[in-house]
Amino acid sequence: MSIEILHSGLRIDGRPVPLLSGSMHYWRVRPTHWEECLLQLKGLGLPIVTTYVPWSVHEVERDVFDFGERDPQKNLAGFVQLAAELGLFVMLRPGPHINAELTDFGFPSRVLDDVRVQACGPDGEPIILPAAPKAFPAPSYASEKFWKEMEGWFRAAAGIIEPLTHPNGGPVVGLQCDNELSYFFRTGAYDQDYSDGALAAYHGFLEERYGDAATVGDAYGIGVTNFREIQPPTEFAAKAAFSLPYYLDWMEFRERLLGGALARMRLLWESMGVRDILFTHNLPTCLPGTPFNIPRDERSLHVVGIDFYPRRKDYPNVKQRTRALEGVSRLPFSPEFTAGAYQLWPPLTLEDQEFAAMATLMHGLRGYNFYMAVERERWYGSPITRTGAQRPGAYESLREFVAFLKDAEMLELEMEARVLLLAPRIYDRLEKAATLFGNLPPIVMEDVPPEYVVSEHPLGFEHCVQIEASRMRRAYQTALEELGITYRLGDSESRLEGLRGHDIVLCPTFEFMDDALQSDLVALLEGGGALVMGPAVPNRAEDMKELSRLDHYVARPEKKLDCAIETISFNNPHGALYLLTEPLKPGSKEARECVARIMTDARVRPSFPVAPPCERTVFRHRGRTVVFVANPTDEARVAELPIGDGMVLRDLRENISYGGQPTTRVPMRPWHIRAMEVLPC
Amino acid sequence: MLSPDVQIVDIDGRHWKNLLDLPNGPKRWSTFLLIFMRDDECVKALRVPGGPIPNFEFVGDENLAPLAKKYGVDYVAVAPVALLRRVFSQAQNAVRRADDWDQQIRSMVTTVSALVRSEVRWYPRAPRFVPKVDGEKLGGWIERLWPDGTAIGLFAFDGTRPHTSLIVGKEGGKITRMTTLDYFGMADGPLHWPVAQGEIYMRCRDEFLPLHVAFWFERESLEEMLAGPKGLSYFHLACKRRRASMMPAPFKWRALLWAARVFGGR
Repeated sequence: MSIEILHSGLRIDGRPVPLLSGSMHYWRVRPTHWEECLLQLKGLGLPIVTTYVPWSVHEVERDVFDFGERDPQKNLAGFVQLAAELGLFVMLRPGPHINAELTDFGFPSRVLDDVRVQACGPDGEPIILPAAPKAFPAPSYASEKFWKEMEGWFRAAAGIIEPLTHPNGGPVVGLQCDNELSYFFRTGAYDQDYSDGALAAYHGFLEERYGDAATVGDAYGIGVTNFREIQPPTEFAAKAAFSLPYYLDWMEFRERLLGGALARMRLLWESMGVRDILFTHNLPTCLPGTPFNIPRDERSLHVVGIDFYPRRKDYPNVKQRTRALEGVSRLPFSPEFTAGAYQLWPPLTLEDQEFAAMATLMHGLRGYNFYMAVERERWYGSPITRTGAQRPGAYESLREFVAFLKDAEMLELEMEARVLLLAPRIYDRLEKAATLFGNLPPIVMEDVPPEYVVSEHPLGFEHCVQIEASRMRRAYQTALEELGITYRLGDSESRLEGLRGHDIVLCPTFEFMDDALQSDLVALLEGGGALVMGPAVPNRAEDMKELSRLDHYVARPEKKLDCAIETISFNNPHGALYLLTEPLKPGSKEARECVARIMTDARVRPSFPVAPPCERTVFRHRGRTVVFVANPTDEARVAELPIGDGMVLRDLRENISYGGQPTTRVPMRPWHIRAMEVLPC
Repeated sequence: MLSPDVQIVDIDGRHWKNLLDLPNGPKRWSTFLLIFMRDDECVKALRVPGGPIPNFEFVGDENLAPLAKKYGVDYVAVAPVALLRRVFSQAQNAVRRADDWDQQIRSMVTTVSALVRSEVRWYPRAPRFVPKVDGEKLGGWIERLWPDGTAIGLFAFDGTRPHTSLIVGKEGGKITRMTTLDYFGMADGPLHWPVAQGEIYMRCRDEFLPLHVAFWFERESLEEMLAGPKGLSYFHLACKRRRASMMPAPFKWRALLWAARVFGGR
């Protein structure tokens, strides 16, 4: 195809095009205002306009669609062609789920009301989403009836879209499969989907994994003759390790159900002639842990991003989400980045949006779709009004940010991350599976530590893995930040490829670990990499049967590091290995000291460290070094950066330079982020 | 009440934030000790705020008072850990697709409240999480007080700059439209409100829906009224001092507010 994907954006017909876009909903804007709105959008410096294509709006009666033949406001082709005439590329989001604050989230009511389409809870009753202004039953992506309906919609839309795609000379360069596919935000482990279609898919998943019923029965410690005899868990009742495969399989199946739906949608579009363009997806505003799986989904789609609508005080979450995305995506992209907000959310101000834009850039985001660039009903605060006028304040602010991204070549920069903090997906699955409150959606409970909601049963292990695994990650993260060492957040699903390119990999390990990750860690060590693991050496695989690929590497202790938590380094012919023998506590002095000792031993040094509460990240590209410094607090601060003699820091937005001394003092306003290039005096 | 096709347009971001930020009286959050049981085993004990209580020993729910004292909480609740599942299940089953959203939410809340009251053992007593609302009665009152094809407005001004505004329109027995002064390009003023009332009234009538009743405030007066204990008395006083007004002021509304102030002690 003539569209290439780079870490910094797209290359279309050999020409670099940043993945910077603005959203406009053509069917919510009078056609007489389309041109003015698109011109204003282009005036923001955005090369792409993105729009949903709503099923419920275009389907005027069953299998009868209006794409502008009756109502000119629904003229999708006309809108896309106008965008092309004005020099804009187009990305389309035809759902089937679009939300867009539409009643019934863009599904025709007749589809949602069909009981064969509906997702079910463990009681067999429909899952109801109490969205304003009408609660509705959520559809199941495992329902074949739903897929049949969806196919009808895709076929109708493909008839319009296919001739408009870039390979056919049109401006459409991308298509998003579905929207925020997440069990409609109800990601609780035992909330859904227990519909007939989902149960059939679950049994298919078990069959693919185990081959025959006797094997799965053996793994679960039950006697079964047929896969259909196995009912999925509806609550966490495990009290021993051998019970865990049953729950871990269910969690993995829930990931597969979502990922499989996305892959199937792409295949459907391609079978209808819509191909050789960018296929994308967006996760809701959350961390991309289970049931999401970006590394796997980017094997079937090109780019999977995360939506952002944060207030300034949400900075810690923004950092986590952006880092998690940066660590796994081939093009870290926000398919919905706040430009205005929905009335029913906590209010978002322009200051919130400006801070979030810099915060995400600072932590590695490399593409933005500003949602909504053009205002519409059930939305406020967009830079362009629905009549095509500039909204004072919001318009200039966004135009200035986009110009900064382009002029300072910010999207080209690559994060300096010599340390990889790896999250083993199997522990995340256990944490989410071990919830005592199976309906509570983790995506709205990110600020709640696992110990609040998960079982505290040790399950026969020395440590309570479902609590300690994420605590270890938090402890590593806090310590690295305090030490001024930039790290990347990794996902074990990225496999060995994701581990490479770092000086050292930090990975919490407990008594069990999936065979694939154990093998990847061995390959890392054999390839000369450095690994920090612990508090236990895995000796069982995901089926809880004995397996220890790493045992061999901890046979010859070299020395004990001088720190409060026993930390042993091992003599290996290839890579370095460190084992912590106790879990770390987030924010503790011992954790900081321990991580500091390991980093010193592994010769990983901080670059441009700043004292908390200020934070910093470092980016480099072709000899350029750019340091971001954030003050995520209500008070003005001074950040002190050791940049060395003869160097200055030049603020790329405010055009002010600081420095000349070995330690440079940079004044920081409250809720302020600076991007500063390190230059010779 | 809320139409599924409600049109919410030209909501000025600043007005909306200011509206949501208006004070609504002093708040003191209650503290809880939540004990979750599976059969006779305590599987989780949480102090809210505070967090999980490690090694919590629960000897039975006959006497919860010592626990309230020990952990310094207003309420102790002992609930089956499976309660949440039943809450989700029953709340969902209570929703009728044909109902309006407000009725759908009321049905869910009523079901959840009943379940929480019946399945949770409370000390000293079950707190009142949500006021009991009779949807039919409320709907009847709204029908009597707010004719179809008209709007209700709230406007507050900071000197000559509009601080917040909200105009809500009702048609066919449902709320169908919602906007702010941005609809008329007047969100940032300058507007001297006692004078601008007439222009806003006319533009509402001509371009939106005629205002049936509207409340006009100086910002400080509105905030003081909302923060104080006797809001309606304060409003009455503010009107006398020309720091607030009700215009238009239909008889039924005047009578209702008078009755609430005099007989309701508001």
